[in-house]
Amino acid sequence: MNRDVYALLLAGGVGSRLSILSAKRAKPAVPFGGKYRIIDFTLSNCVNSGVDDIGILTQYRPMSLNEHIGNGKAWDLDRMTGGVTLLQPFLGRQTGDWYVGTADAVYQNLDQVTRRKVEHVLILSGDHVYNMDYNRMIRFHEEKGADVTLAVTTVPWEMTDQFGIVETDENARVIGFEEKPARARSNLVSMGVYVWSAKALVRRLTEDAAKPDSQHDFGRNIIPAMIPDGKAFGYRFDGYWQDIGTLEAYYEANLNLVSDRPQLDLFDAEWKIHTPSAERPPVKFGSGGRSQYSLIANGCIIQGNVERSVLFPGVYVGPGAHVSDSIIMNDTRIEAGARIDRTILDKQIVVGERAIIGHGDASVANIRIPQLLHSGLTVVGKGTVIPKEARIGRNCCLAADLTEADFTSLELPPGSVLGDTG
Amino acid sequence: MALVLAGGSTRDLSVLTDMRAASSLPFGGKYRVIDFTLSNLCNSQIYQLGLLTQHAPLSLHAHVGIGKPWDLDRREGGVMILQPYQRQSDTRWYLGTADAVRQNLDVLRHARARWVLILPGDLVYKMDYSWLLEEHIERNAAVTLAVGPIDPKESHRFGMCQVDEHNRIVAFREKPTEAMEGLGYMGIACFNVEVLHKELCDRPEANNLVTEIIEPMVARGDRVEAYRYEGYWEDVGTVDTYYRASMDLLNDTPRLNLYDPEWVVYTRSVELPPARLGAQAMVERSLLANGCNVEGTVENSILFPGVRVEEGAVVKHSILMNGASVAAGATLDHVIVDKDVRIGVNVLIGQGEAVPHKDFPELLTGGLSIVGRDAVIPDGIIIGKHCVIEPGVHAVDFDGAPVESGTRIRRGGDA
Repeated sequence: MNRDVYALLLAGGVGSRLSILSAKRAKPAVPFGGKYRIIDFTLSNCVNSGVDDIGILTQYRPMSLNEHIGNGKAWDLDRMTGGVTLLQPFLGRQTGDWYVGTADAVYQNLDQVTRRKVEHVLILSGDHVYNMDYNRMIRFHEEKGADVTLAVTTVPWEMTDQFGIVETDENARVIGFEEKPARARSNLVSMGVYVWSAKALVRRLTEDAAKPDSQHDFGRNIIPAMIPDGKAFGYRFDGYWQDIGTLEAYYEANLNLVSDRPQLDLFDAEWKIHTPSAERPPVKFGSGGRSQYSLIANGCIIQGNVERSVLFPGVYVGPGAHVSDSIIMNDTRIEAGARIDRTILDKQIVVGERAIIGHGDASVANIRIPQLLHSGLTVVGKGTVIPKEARIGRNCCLAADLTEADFTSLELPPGSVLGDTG
Repeated sequence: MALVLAGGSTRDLSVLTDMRAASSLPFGGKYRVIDFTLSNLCNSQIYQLGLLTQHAPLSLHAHVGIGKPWDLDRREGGVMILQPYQRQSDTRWYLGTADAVRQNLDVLRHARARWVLILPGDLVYKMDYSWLLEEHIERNAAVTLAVGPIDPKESHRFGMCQVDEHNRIVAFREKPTEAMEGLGYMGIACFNVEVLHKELCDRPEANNLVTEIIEPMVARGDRVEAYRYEGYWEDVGTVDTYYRASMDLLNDTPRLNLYDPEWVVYTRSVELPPARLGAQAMVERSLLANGCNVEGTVENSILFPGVRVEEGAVVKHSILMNGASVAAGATLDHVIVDKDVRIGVNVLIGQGEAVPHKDFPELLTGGLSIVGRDAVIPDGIIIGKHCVIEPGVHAVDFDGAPVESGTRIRRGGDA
C-alpha cells in the first residue's frame, strides 16, 4: 500500500456538455461501459495503484455520486485507516464557501492534506476514462525532484482548443502551459492528473488564494506560475485516455468498447474496474434473441436484435425489437417491434411497441443544442415513457420523466426538442 | 434458527462433486445451488443459521464466507460454519443427518431457538419459510414437513407421505421401490427444538433423520404435519436432474423465475465487465453471465462468468462453468464443462453413437458428457457421447485417438 500518498478527486463539475445525461447527476456519476460510472475508472486506478486514502470533492448534484460511492466497499475502500471521504463545500470556517475553481476546491480542503503528513498528493479528475498506474508517475516525480508532475498525452490537433496545452524540454521539464488556446503550439495536453509534493501544493495554493485576480484554477493560474522555477515536469502517458467532455465523446468512447479492437480493456484481470453491482441474474437470450458487437450486462433479457450497442443491467428488448449503435442504460424497456438507432437512452425509459427512435435526416442539427447534437445522435432523459408507434427523428433531445401525455404528436422531426432539457 | 445440511457426498453428480459439496455446485449461470436456500432465508428474514459441512467443504466455505451477499454478516446471529470437530471423548464425523444435528444441539441451545428449520443445501426453489413456520406454530405441530407433488415415476427418490384431510401425515415411506402416488418430502422440516432434542437423545443410535427419527414419529402418531408447497422445486442431486433443471431456465417462461425483483437470488459475484459479443457471435436461447466473451455460436446453453467462446466454435445444449474457454473451431454438444476447463482448437465433444456409459449408464443420458474442473483438452481431439473426462486431465492423458462414447478419461493414466 502506498501510505505516502493522499488522492483528491475533483468530481464537482457541472458537465453541461453532456446535456440531459448530467442534468440530474454529476458528470463522474454518468453511467459508462455497460455497468460502470465514469468515476469508477479513476477510483479503480487508485486502488489498483495501491492508493487507498482518497477524498472526493463534490459540489454539483452529488446525490447520485454519494449513493454510488457509499462507504467505498466496491473498491475495498471501507477501511479503518484511509478509505474514501466525500468532501462537500461547507460553511462555518473562515474560507467556507462554494468551490469557485479547481485550485480553490483543493485549497478549501488543505487541512485534509496537512493533517495527513503525506509526502505526495495526487490530484485527479473524476470524469476521465483510462487505466493508469499512478505509482510509475509518482516514481518519475521523485526521480525528477519535482514540485508538481503533470500527466501529459497527445490529442488530435483539431481538439487542442479543449485542453491545457503543455510544452516540455528534452528533460520533460514543463516550459510552456496554455489553457484551451485558440491556436496551440503543441498537441501535448495535460490530462488533469497531477502528482504534487505536499509542501509545494500547500505553498502554491496558499499564495494563489491571496490573489484576488486569480480564477483559482490549476490550469489557468497555478501551473503557469510554476514554470519559471523549473520544478514542474510532464509525465508522458501513452495508453488510452478519454476526457468524456461532450455527448459525442461519450458516445464514441462507449461504442469503441464494442469494436473489434477496443482501446480500453475491460477484461484485463490484472487491472479490474470495480463498481458496486446490484445482484442480477445472467443475461437471457430468448428464442428470437440475437446480438453482435455488443456489451450486455447481467439482468438483461434479449428477445430481439441487438447490434453494436452497450446495454446496462436489466434492459429488456422485446420480440422483434431492433437496437443498433445505441447505449441503453439500466432497466430501460424496449417493447416488441420498436426500432432504436444511434440513440442514448438513459435509465428506466419505456419505449412503446413499434416506436421508432433515430430515423430520418441526420443533417438537421438540434434546434436548442446544435453544437452538441449534429451528427445524428438522439438522447432521451431518464424515466421518460415514449408512446407506442411514436416516430422520433435524429439529433433529437427528449427530457427526463416525460409521460405519454407530453407527446402532442407521435411524430418528432429530426432536431426536435421535447420537454425541459435544461 | 435454521440448520442447513450441506455436508453430504454423492456419486450421482459424477466428477462435478469430486472437489466440492453438492450444495456448492454452480447453477443457473452464476449461482451455486446453496444460494437458493440462503436467499430464501434472507428473503424470509431469517438471519440465524448454521451451515453443516463435511464432504469437500472448501469451495462452499469460500463461497459463503461471512455471509455478506445474503446480509448474514451480523452482530447477532448470522452464519456459522459447523464442521465436525474433535472432543475429549466421542469424537466422530457426522454419521448421518440425525447425528450431524445431534452433534450441534449445543448451538441450538445457545441460540435459545424454540423452532429449528432443517434445510437441505442442494435444493433449487424459492420458499418463504415464514409461512411454514406460521403454520407449524398455528397447528401446534411437533414437526412440520414441507411436501410437494411428485410424479410417481420419481417416487423412488423421495420420502413419500400420506396425509389425512387436515394435512396431518399418517404414513411415511422412504424411497419406496415401487412407483407411488402421493406427496414427496422435500427435505425441509420444522421441529420444535424441545421435541428434536428429546428424539435425538432418546435414540442415540439413530443417524438418519428421516428413517430413524421422522418415520418412527409418524408411525407412533406424533403430530407430524404437512406443509403443502405448490411452487417449483428441484433436487439437483443427480447429473440428470441438474441438467434438466438448468435447461428449464432457458424456456421463455421457466418454472424458476430468476428475474423477480421481489425475490432476488443473491450470490457472491466476482467483479467482471458486461458480457461481450463479437462480430461473428450468434447467441440464441441462452444465459450469459458477466465477463463472457463470445465470438462463436451459442445455442440452448448456459455460460457462467468469464467463459470464452472463440470464433467458429459452436456450443449447443451445454453448460460451461466459470472461466472455461472453447477455442476456435471446437464444437460442444450436450456437455457439462466444469470451471477453468480449456477446450482446444477443433475439439469435438458429443460425437457419434450414444453408447451408454460403462460404469453408470443411468447417470449419463441423452448423450450428455462431463468434463471435470481444470481439464485441458488438446487440439483436435474427438470425444463421443456419454463420456466423463476427469478433473485436471491434460495432453498426456490423451493418445490422440478419438475418445469412444461411454468411456472415461482418467488423470495421469490410460483412457
